[in-house]
Amino acid sequence: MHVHFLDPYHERPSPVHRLDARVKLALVVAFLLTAALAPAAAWPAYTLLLALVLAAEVLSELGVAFFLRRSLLAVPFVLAAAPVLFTTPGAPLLALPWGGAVSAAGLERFASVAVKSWISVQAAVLLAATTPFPDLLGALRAWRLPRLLVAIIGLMWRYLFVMVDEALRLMRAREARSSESGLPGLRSGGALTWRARVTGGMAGSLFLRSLERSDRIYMAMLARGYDGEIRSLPRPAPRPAEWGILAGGLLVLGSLLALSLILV
Amino acid sequence: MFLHVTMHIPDGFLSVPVSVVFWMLSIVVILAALARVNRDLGEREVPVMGVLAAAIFAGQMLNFTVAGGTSGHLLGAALAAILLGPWAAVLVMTSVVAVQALLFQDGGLVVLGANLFNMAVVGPFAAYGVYRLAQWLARGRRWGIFGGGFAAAWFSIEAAALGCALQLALSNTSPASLAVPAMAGIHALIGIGEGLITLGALSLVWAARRDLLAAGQTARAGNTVVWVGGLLLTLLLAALAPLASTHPDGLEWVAERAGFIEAAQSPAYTLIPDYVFPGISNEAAATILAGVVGALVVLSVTIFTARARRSRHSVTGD
Amino acid sequence: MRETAVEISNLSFAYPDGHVALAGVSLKLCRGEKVALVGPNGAGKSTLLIHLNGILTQQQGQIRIGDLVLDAKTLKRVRARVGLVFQSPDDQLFSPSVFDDVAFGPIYQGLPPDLVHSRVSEALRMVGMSDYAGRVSHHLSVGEKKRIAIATVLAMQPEILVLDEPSAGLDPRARRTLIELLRALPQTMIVATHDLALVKELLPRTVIMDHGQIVADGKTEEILAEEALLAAHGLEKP
Repeated sequence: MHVHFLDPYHERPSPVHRLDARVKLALVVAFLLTAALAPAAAWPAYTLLLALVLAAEVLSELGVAFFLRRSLLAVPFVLAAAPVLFTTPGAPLLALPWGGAVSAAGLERFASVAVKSWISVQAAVLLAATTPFPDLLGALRAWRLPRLLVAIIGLMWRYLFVMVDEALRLMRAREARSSESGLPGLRSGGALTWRARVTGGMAGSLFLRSLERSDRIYMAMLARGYDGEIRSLPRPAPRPAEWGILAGGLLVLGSLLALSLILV
Repeated sequence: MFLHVTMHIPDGFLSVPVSVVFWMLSIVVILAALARVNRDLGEREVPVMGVLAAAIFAGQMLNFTVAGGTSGHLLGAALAAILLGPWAAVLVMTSVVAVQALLFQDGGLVVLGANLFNMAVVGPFAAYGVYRLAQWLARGRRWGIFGGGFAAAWFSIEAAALGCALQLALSNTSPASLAVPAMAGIHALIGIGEGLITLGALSLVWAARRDLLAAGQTARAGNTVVWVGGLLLTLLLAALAPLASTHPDGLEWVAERAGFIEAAQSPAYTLIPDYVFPGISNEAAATILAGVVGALVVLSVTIFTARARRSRHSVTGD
Repeated sequence: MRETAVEISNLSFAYPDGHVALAGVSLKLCRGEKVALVGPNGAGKSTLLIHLNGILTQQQGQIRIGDLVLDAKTLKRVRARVGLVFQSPDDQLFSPSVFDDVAFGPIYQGLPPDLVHSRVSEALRMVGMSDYAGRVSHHLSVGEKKRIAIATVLAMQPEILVLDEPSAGLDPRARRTLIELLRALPQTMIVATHDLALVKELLPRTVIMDHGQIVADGKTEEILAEEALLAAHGLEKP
């Protein structure tokens, strides 16, 4: 079964890939916060942020098209922000058939939300695509995520592919038995409620099997001396150059944010 | 990535103060869950939670055809809460939602706290509250498990959706009068799907490993407080919905404005004030904010009371 | 000349990651024939099998099941004719009871309840597990699960049975039971397997696959006697 599509990491020999995961995580989070804090309609700031993320994308050797495809995921949710078009106070721009109007301010706000969201998603994709998950998890741990949670997420990752594989095979098996008899006058598919409950049975089956599997995993862990404490090897600190990149990045983002707030 | 239950808010849609508040709420609950699970499950917790989180993630990929091209999916918060208890469910759902955001951009990272609140806090607790209520009402009869399971699943979806709508409203991204009915309405239907799937899963567990369902029955010290708290949270969110909807501030305002066209426009509009004081610029949102704070107080009291009682009853373990 | 049950013409398929699993496979089975599909792992056996009921769609070539050409429109009807039994029974038994699992196929077809019941009884009888209807699938042994998995497919009354590694993981007794079961079934059969002893006992025709192509097709006793041929494709004489 081919479920490796689930892993967002795409290996490349790029400087972005090589950058220490802890530094990358901090930079991406700072970037996202900058985007979030930048006021609406701060177009110069948005342009600079977009330029930054595009530059990083180019450096990552994955190609801008790759990121554009992934960032389109956020697009459908934009509809949730559509109401700001006509509920934001301001001079009307376009009258709506049912009364009220789209205001210029509303359009600005809507566009701001859309652009900010789009830029943010790209930064998130960049992080996931250039950092192997174990490193990302290590970075989260370094930034003080509780050890227990890190351990749970780590184990989840390990078994994610296995469980997704099982889920896909369950669906294949169901497909194989979803047929039309060819007898006249019969509608295939079964009742909707029946279909939902069968799906539930599949979920329950996944659950049970994972529970029983967890017993075996626990035994294997015990056999290797597990005593309830999760320990991991200390990672070497980032190199001075990487600290420099972090400092530089934070400086750039900080200035960008300050300027956008002052100049608006 | 798979777009299932449409509750994962992307970055950019919530204001920073709203994001911060919900981050804080979620962190409090997650830390409490970590402490609680550590006590209950001991060292088995890592393999159990980890693999079950993987199972829930995979379970969310299962689908069934609803009509034409649409398909129904599972969120799993209710199932997790029923089979593992609310605290473990919080951790499991946190892992799932966090990894979905980090790796698959299913939901943003700045707003992750808010998404966690909806799907990893409200979802499991609402489900747990409803489930235990049903069991208490059924007094050991089987419908408590299956009817309760269905209801718990429905409420978990509905409550999470309301949380989502409130967050959007508080950020002034979507007015409450629109977001609440829209989210509540759509997810009332999705909730039925969740209910049916949960029912199917519980049927299988009941047939194959009845002991797992019986284990959830044992009331431990503090659990009563927890599920009552969960129930109150659900009721609060449910009460806020009609309240928010009956404040047609958004539409009212538009109607007023449409009456006259301004030639001169004030340059700053309401952008900066909105940014600095989001949610307090209109009455409805202020009410909702109060409601959320209230829900929070209830939850905090619940948690701390549960902990205090637990330490008192630690020997008897009733 | 018996009628053609399955006709695969020049089938080609590559996975999204680029791996070419099938490179121009052609095969013809007559009604009632029992054929073994052998070859090393990665040869494309499983990929070929799941084309037969349309789970995967080929990029080139055609599949004919009886008088139906397999395409999007005929898919559901073909599935009623081709019963596919996967390797792992755990992935095929997803209902609370054995009855529910075996009844899935008929219920999906929209058959009335009494017909569903008779199909289930008949299918369980054919696999020798008539008493198991009320049992919980989860609690059965591997051998029992495998037989129930076959029953889930027999309930649709298929003309053709396709099995992927049916004897894998079975102890000698369960394996013996399975072989006798398969021997008694009248359907046209394709069995992908590493178990060459089973092939020798049960399946008169053998097809060897390697690297997405058919490299040998003939009488089992002849093919299994050619040691060089077997060795060339990662197989050992039973």
